[in-house]
Amino acid sequence: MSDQKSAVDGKTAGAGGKSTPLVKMVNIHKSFGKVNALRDINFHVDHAEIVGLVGDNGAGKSTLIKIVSGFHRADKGEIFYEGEKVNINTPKDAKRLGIETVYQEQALAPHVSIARNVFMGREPTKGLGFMDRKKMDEESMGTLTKLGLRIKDPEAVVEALSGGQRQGVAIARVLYFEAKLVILDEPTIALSVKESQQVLDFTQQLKAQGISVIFITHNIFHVFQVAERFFILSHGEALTDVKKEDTNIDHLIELIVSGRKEKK
Amino acid sequence: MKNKKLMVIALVTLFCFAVMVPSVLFAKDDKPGKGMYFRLVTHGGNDPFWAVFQQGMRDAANELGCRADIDLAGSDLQLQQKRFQEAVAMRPDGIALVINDSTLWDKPVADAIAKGINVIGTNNDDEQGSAGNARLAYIGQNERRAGMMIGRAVFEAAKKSGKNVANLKVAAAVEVPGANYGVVRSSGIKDAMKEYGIKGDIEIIDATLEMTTAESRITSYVIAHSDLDCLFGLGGITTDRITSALKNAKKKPGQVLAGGFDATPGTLTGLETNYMVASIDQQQYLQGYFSVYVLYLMKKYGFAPQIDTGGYLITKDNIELIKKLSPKNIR
Amino acid sequence: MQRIVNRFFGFRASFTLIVFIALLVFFGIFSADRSFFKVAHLTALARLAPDLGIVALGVGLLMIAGEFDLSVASTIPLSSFVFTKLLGWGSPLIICLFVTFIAGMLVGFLNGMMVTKTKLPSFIVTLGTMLFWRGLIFAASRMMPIGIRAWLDFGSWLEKMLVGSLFGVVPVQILWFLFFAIILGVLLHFHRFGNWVFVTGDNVTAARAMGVNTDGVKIACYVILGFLCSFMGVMQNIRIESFTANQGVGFELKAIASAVVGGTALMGGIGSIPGIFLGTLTIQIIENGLILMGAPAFGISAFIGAAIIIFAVLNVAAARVSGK
Repeated sequence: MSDQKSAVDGKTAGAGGKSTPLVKMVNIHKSFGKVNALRDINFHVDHAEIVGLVGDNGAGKSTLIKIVSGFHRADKGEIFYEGEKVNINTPKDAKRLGIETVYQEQALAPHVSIARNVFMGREPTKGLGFMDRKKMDEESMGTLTKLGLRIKDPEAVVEALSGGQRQGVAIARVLYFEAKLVILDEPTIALSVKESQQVLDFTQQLKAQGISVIFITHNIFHVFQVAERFFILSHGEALTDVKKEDTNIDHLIELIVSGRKEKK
Repeated sequence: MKNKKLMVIALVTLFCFAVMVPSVLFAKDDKPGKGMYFRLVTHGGNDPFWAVFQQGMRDAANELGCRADIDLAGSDLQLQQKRFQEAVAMRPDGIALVINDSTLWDKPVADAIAKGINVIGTNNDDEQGSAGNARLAYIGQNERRAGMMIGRAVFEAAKKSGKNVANLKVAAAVEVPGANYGVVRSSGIKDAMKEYGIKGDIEIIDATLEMTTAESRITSYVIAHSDLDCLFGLGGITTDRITSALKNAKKKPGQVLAGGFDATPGTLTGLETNYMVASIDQQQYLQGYFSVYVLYLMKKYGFAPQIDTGGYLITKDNIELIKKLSPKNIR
Repeated sequence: MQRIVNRFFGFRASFTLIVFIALLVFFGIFSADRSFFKVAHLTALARLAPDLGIVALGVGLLMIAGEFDLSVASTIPLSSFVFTKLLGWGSPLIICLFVTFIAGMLVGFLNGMMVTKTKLPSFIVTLGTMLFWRGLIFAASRMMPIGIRAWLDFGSWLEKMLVGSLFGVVPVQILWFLFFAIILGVLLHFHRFGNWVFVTGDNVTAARAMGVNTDGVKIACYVILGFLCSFMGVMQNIRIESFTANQGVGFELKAIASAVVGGTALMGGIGSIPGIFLGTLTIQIIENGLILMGAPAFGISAFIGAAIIIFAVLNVAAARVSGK
């Protein structure tokens, strides 16, 4: 992905907290008709960092990440990637930069095999468009293993997997395609305790591979385990952007519930 | 001065001639039925049968120089009654009505006639004819009789080919089981069966309106009943497919004697290759044609005839004429 | 063994295969003097079943992509009409064929555009186009059949290709059916376009999010179906030696039934070409078999309907039992 070459010197994996953030969004405004979804949002994600994006319903979390992943365009504001201004107008633009989203519904086709799901839309071919099934099977299994998922059959249909495993497949997909920034949209919703832990482990794995993560959720308890920083939204406005060491769970909950900016 | 007077008289005479001649010529162009309007209220629809009926109506109207319109109520009796009332309200010079029910039309027709509108029956008549309905005349064919005609033709051929007539196995394929045309025609065939002393009943094959499905089902039936002697098509589509079905079932011409209705390409081929004995041309062109003419003559002179348009048996011998006229919607 | 069959056919289709073989045996035994296996019947089956089959392949493909097309019932006579008219104007056979195929594909394209741009349910949209084209054909032809013998001599190359017999025994139609089944099968199961078809039908939002041009995929399927309809329309036209306005009546539902019996899901995302191939033959042999067994030819439709329902239910139940 040569588009990702930046003017500033290259960053190495696993060294979070570099001077220039991976992604920086400045003065973002977005309205849908008369509804003001986002107002003057300044949000950034550093390299190999896990940021928790939290807030109650209608806060604007979805809108924000849809802008960075190319589904919406901000009415006002700019986005910087590796220090350079970029225009993200379509999902393909975002993907090209290495920004991938794993949705609530995992964007997986339930009746289709794991391998075919991982390579959906990006199937490797061996000439004339015929799929290289061998490569698909091998590569998908390889990536799943890297994540710590033990699935024997790449031809197994996604529907047959558990919720946690399915999240694993979705994450493996973005991992394979060398995402730099992975957005997890409510990844632990409707999962059991065990499966949720699995997902949190996957998240750690991503960071270990040098990949940044935006972890969107309602579940403060889950995200507190893995995130290093928390960005709270309420009714389209930023309430706070605080590092984990400067806060605790109760503090965060209080902020979200009150919905008011902290007086610093 | 005398010359001048002569000149004026001559000029005036010439002028009168000049005016008269064109008006005589133009008058010659006035067709007899000019200004008349007739309405045909039918239960027909968009199918080949009614297309020919309409052609007959249109040709007659063109020849007579009158206007004629047709209502196609498509087997919807309620709708047809409504159309009839609308036609009556228009006060046309005559109405031709398909009398497809023996009681329903009695009063409406009588009322219309009382109002001074000529009403005749066409294509279909009250079962009791003029005794059952007040219509002033009737033009049409008898579906039942047509069935009997084709039945006779086929059974006669069976007899001639040496088959044991009393034990003939008879079947008929129909596009829409239970539809009026099929029921009436098959009862006509049953009449013929009685005439020839054929025991047993006629078996009905549900063939559907679709060509391939009809062919497939008829084929399977023929294969399943290797002792079949006579096969009828009760409609244009089934008749068309019988020849191919017999060929599919590896039957040679004459093993199963077939007959049916209408003159579609497949049927014509069947007649030419001896797979089919005969087919009925209903001559519905004449029904449309004569309806208009009779209404015209009735309006003008009060004639009230009974015209039987009959059923015309198409066989290998008279097929050429049909082939020429079929594409023109005349037969 | 089970795995190979599953892999190749998809689970639901292997069920169809089992039932298909069972039906063959059943009818073989119970048909009046074993007529099921008589050459006459088998050749008739091979000649006539592909009419439905070729169209069912396309309908099933589209269903896997998640959409319906009811207008096939009108595209068939439309193609036949176009072909007949062109023949009548004296165009060379190749041109007639070519233009007819283009017409079919255009109708498909139109369907595809309408479905994807209006976002209305394809069932409704194609019901509309079916009625629209049917009305046009009825009006243009005045419902009169048009024979083609006047313009097409016996034994022309086209005739041999579309309605002849190989070695005088095997009807060409079944070979065409196989031909299209193989092409579409390879496309669907081995080509990436096929993957796009599956994911578009299974989870269209996911597919779109992953960059698959779902609208394009659907339109392509509609165009393919349009072509298949026009091909079949010409094939039928030459076999019955005429254009009839009633060609294809009822095919839209029979094709869907064939696909469903062959394991295609109504919701999309599930199905296989071998399954549809077998599904068509299954429906046809049920129809033929029942008549051959002496079932009352009058109510045959009722039997076929019942058989289809039983079959579809069993298919779903079996899939559920095996946990797929």
